[in-house]
Amino acid sequence: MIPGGQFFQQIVNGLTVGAVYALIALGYTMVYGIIELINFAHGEIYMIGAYVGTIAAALLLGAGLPATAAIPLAIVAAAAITGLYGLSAERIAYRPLRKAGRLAPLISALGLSIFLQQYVLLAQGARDKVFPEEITSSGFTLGPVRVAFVQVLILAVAALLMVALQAFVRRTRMGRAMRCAAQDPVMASLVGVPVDRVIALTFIIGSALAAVAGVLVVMYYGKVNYLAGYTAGLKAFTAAVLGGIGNIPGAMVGGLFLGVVESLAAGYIGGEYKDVVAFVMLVVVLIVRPQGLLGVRVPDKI
Amino acid sequence: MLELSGVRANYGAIEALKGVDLEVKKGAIVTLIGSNGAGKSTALMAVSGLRPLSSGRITLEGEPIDGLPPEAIVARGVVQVPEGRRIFTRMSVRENLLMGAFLRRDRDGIARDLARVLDLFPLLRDRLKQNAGTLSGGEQQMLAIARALMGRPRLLLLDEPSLGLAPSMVKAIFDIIAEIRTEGVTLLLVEQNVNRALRIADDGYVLATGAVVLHDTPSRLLQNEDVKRAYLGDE
Ligand SMILES: Nc1ncnc2c1ncn2[C@@H]1O[C@H](COP(=O)(O)OP(=O)(O)OP(=O)(O)O)[C@@H](O)[C@H]1O
Ligand SMILES: [Mg+2]
Repeated sequence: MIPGGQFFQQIVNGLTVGAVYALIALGYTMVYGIIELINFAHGEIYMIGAYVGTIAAALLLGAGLPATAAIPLAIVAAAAITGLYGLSAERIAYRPLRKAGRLAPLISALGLSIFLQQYVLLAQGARDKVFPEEITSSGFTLGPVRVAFVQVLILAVAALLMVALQAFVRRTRMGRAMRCAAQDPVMASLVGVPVDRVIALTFIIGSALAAVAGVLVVMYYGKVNYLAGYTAGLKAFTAAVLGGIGNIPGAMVGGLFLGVVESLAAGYIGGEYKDVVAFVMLVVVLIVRPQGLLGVRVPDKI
Repeated sequence: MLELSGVRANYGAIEALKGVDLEVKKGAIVTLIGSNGAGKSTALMAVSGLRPLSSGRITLEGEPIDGLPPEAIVARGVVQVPEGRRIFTRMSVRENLLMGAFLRRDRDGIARDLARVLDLFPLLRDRLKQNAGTLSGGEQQMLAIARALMGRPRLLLLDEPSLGLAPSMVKAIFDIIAEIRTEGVTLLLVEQNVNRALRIADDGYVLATGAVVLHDTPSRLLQNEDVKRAYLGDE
């Protein structure tokens, strides 16, 4: 048994990691909601976001900007540039296969995932990319629980983005168009929704969110490498499945849930079991409850 | 207003339209009838830009519209209420109606048209906040037509609007169609309810296995022995 303080510490750490899973999971779930494709290259998009953010932060800090300005700017730059990667991925790897059944785009996704990994390996090398600013160590204590500032930052940014995404999808014209296209793309076209552009926008948003997650993680762990998209992608995919793939609030809850469960497993059973627990959950949910843990009815796609 | 000439379209190896010629005059109600699988829905989808032509031409007021993306066709005032209603079941009635006005930016005009369609379909008024998936079949059809009207159509394409509805609802739908026409909207109406459709229309086409086999005035089509035998048998 671990003491109570340890329990709360694991919850806090779990929520931190879970918030990151949730941000990545949103991209899986939004894309699935609209074109029923499991975008296996999404993990690599996240990894690219982490690289772009790290490089941007190094450049901005090198130019003499204080960390308080350089880091937010680096996050924005990572989101914007990685959004363009997502857009290109859709154009090049998926759009030409839109009418080619389900298997072809899936294979294309796997191919793209390998391509992006190798691309980063060639461009950046195999060694870990280290975040230019040491921020992990500073923090504060809440009773027995130690909270790093970067954890607060992760939770705050993730919460902000999730609220913003919900508002976008619920309240804006393009957000409504996105929900329509997810429900019935033919009918969406018949009311004048430019479905192709909505799909492209979905990729941009999903990739930008993953990029922010990527930068936050590099800040948290201090480094990233070209293989980082693999595990994170699988975890976030698990989170999306837990929440019911296609379901935006589900992805958020699924991410947090997975993060906490994983973290508790690491605390109670041992760190090496963390990934095992996640993937056992994925397999069990896929077999027993493929519609996800949330909700009884077919989840609201997007 | 709308003209199809030599329109061919296929699904893989199946040729669903084999050279369709059809004209809809401004201000008219034109009805398109034919048995199941004749290609009626395919013809409407071709007009809406969702089924590419393998050959032929579709013009709107003389300008070719085939090959345009669906949203460009909606923007030109050609709006379709498709078969099966296809309302957005996971959105409220109000959101469905607003989606009909997706391409419009005139807030005041949209608000006015919302009031107008609610006058036309009073039963939607009390259900504005309700999830559209919980409406009855008849109410969903009303919503589908109301949503299309929110797009301010100049030409409205209706695909079997009375399908599966109770007789009182069918009558209500045809009354609405007549009313829409008085507001200056041109209509192309695909119907299984041949009797009613011909009685409301100004012009009629009969489609069979992807080709127009008859084109005549509704009164003559109602007298036509082939039409009577094939489509009016049980009325
Ligand atoms: N998505 C599709 N894939 C393959 N074939 C199709 C598809 N949709 C229609 N068809 C075929 O095209 C032909 C015309 O179909 P269409 O739906 O246009 O007929 P319809 O006149 O509207 O019939 P109904 O009265 O049953 O609605 C039919 O032979 C049909 O089987
Ligand atoms: Mg049909």
